[in-house]
Amino acid sequence: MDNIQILEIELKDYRQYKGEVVIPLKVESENNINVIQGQNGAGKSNILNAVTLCLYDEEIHIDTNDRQGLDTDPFVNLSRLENLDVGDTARGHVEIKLGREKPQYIFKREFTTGKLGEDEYESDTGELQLHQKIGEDWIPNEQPLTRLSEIIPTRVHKYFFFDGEQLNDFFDKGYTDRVKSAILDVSHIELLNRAASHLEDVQSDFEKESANFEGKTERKERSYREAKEQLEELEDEYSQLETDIEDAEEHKDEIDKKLSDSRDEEVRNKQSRRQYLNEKIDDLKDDLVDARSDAGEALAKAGMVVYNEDALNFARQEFDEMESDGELPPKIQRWFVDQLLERGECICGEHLDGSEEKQEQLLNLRNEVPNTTGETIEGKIEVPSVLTEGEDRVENLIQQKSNVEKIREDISSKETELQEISAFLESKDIPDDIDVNHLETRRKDLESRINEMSEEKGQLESRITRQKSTVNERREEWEEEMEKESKRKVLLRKVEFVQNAKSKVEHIRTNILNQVRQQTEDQLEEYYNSLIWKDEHFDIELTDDYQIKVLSPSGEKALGSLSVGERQVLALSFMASLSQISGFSAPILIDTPLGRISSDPKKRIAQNIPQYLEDTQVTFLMTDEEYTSDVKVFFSDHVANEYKLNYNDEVTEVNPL
Amino acid sequence: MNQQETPENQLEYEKTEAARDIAVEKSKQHCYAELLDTEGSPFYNMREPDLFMLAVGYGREKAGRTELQGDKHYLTQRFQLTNEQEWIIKSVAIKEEQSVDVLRDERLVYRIAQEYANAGIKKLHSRVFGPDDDSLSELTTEIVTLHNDN
Repeated sequence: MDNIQILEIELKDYRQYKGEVVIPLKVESENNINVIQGQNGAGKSNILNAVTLCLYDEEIHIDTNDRQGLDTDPFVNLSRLENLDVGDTARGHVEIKLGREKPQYIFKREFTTGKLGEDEYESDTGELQLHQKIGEDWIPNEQPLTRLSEIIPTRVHKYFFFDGEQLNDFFDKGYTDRVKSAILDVSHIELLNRAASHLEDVQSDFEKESANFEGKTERKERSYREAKEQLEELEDEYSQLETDIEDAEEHKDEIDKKLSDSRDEEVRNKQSRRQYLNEKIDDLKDDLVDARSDAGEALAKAGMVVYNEDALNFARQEFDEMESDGELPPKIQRWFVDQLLERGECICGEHLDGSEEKQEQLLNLRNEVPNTTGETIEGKIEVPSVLTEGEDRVENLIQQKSNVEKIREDISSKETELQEISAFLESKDIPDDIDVNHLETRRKDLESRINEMSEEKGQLESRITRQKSTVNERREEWEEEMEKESKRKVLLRKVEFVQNAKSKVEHIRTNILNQVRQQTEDQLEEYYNSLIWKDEHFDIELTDDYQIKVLSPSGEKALGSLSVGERQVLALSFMASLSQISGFSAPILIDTPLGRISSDPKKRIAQNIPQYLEDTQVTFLMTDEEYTSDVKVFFSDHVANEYKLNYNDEVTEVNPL
Repeated sequence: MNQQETPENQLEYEKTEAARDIAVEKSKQHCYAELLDTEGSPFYNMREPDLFMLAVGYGREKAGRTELQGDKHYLTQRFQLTNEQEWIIKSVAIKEEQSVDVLRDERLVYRIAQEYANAGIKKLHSRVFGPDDDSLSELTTEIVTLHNDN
C-alpha cells in the first residue's frame, strides 16, 4: 500500500469502549477494505468520532435523532464514572497509528471527565501528541499539528472521515455554497490568498504615502481612500448578512426536523407536503429564471423592431420609390465603369486617353455608384425582411410572456398551499407532543426575516457594484493627479506594480479554481458511473456557479428528482473526488455508507465498491442492514479486516468476524 | 456635420466610414451594466448589442435624441451587430434625415443611433428599476400594443 493508512486505533475508556481496546486495521493493496459491523448504538459512530477527536479535537458525528446528543455524553466510559466520587476525574485516550506498511506516526489525545454531581459530568480534551519513528527510534514531535497538516489538514479531513447518513443532506438547499467551499478547501490556494491579502496591504500603504503630498493629490487620495473604506464596510455588511441568513436557515431546518418527527401523523404529512412543495417551488423558480431570460431576449428582439417600425416602414417606402423611379436596380454598376476605365474606351466609343474630361466624368461616376447602389439594393431586400421577421418576433414574445405567467401562477398556487399548511400548523395544539403551533410561529417569523435579509442582500449587492465603480473612478482621478509630477510618478509606478502583481495572483487563483472544478467534474462523473447501479452512462456537469447537473441519456435530472440512493451515491462520489483531488494520500473512514439505499441498489453498489478508491484504505462502519450477506459476497475478496461490535451493559466489545 | 443645403442630392452627405466601436456615455455605462448583470433584470445576461438596439428604439419612442456628453465608454464593436441590427440603425437614420442618401455618411448614421440609445437607456433603466412591479410584463404589453397600432 503506497498510501498512508490507519494501522491501528487504540481506545482507552472512550465512550462505550471500556479499558483498552485495540482495533488493528492494516490493509494490503488488493485487500483495501475494512468493515466494522454493529447495530445502531453499538459504537460505530464513536469509532469515527474517536478518530476525529484524536486528530482534530472534534467529534464529527452528532446524532440528531437522539435528543440527548452524543456531544452531551461524557467522553469517559460511563461504567468507569459510576465508581467516581463527586469532584473526581477519570482519564482516557485515543491513539492512532498511521503509516504505510509499518507505523510511522502515533497520534494521541488524552481526555478527562470530571464528575460534578449525580449524572452530571464535564469533559475536556488535552493537546494532540505525536511520536514519529525516525530510524529505529520513536521521537516525540513538538509540532504535531504541522505534521498532521502534511498528512490530512483540518480543512480537508471531512472528505476523508465522514458520516454517510448525513451526506444525504449535502445536496439539500444551498448546496452550491457547500460545493464551492469544498472546492476551495482542496485547491491549495491558501498561499495565494495570503499573497493577495499582503499585496492589498502593500498597495494601501503606498497609496497612503501620497497623502503626504499637499493640495489636490492629498484630497484625491483621501476621497479615493474614503470610497475604498465605504466599499469595505459594505462588503463586511454583506458578509454579515450572509452569515445571518445561513444561521436563520439552519434554525428553520431544525424546526422542520422537529415537525417532521412529530408524533402526530397529520403534522408529519403536512410537513412532508411542505417539503415537497418547497422543492417544487425551487425547481419552478429555476424554470422561471430561464423563462424570464427567454422572454427578456424575446422582448429585446421584438422591441428593437417594433419601436423602430415607423423608421423601417419609411425606409422601405423610400427604397420602393427609388425602385419605381428606376433608380433600383442601378443602371450603371461599378464593375461596368471599372471595365470602361480599364479598356480606356467609353461606351460611346470615344478613347479616354485623349480626353481627361471624359476620364474624370467616369471616375466621378464610379465613386458615386457604390454608395447608392450596393447599399440601396441590400436595403431593398433587408428592410422588408426585418419587418416580416418582426411579426414572428412579436408572436414569440407573446408566447414567452405566457410561459412566464404560467410558471408564476404555478408558483403562486403552491405558495397559497404553503400558507394554508402554515395556518393549519399554527392552529395545531397537540398535548404530549412537540409544541407545533409555537414552532410554526417561530418558523414563520424566521422565514419572513430570511426574506427581508435576502432583499437587503440584493440591494447591498447593487450598492457594492456601484461603490466599486466609484472606487475605480476615484482611483483614476487620483492617478491622474499623481502623474502630474515626476516625484509622484515613482510612487504611482510602485502602486501599479503591486496592482499588477495582485491581478496576476488573482488570475492564477481563478485558473487553479477552474482547473480543480474541472477535475472534480471529471472525477465525480467517473465515480458516479462506477458506483451507480444503473447500466446507462450519466454525464455530470459542475457549472461555473457550482451547480451539479446529472444528465442521463434521456435528459437532465434535477438534484431534487434524484432518489435518496442516487443522492447518496452522488455524495459518496463527490467526497471521493475531493479526497483524490486534495492530493493527500490518506485513509478513508465512512460511517453508514449505504444506510439510505434500498436492497437491490445496495447489492449493485457493493459490487462496484471494491473498485472505489483503489490503493486507498477504506474503512466502512456498517449496520447489519447494510452489511448483508449479498454485500459480504461482493466484498469478500477485498476485505482485510472484519469486526463485529457487541454492545452490552454500556460496554462495547470489538470481536473479529 | 456633413449636411449641406440641397437634401435631394446625395452629395450633400460626405462619404465617411463608421467608427469601429459603439460608444455610450461613460456616466451611463452603469445603466447597461445593471440591466445586463442584475439577476432580476429582464435583460440579465443578454448581449450588449441587443440591449443597445432596444435602447435605440426605446429612445425613439420615449425620449428623443441626446448628444453624448463627457467621457465615452465603448460598449461593443460594430461588427458584433447583426445584419438586421445594422439595417434598423440605417433605417432610423433614413427616417431621421428623410433621405436614403444619409447612408453615405456612416459616422452620422451611427451617431444618430448612439444619441437615441443615450436617452433611451436611461429611461429603460428607470423603467426596469423603477416602481413598476413587473417591467417585463408591462414592456411586453406595450410592444404588442404598439405593433398592433402600427
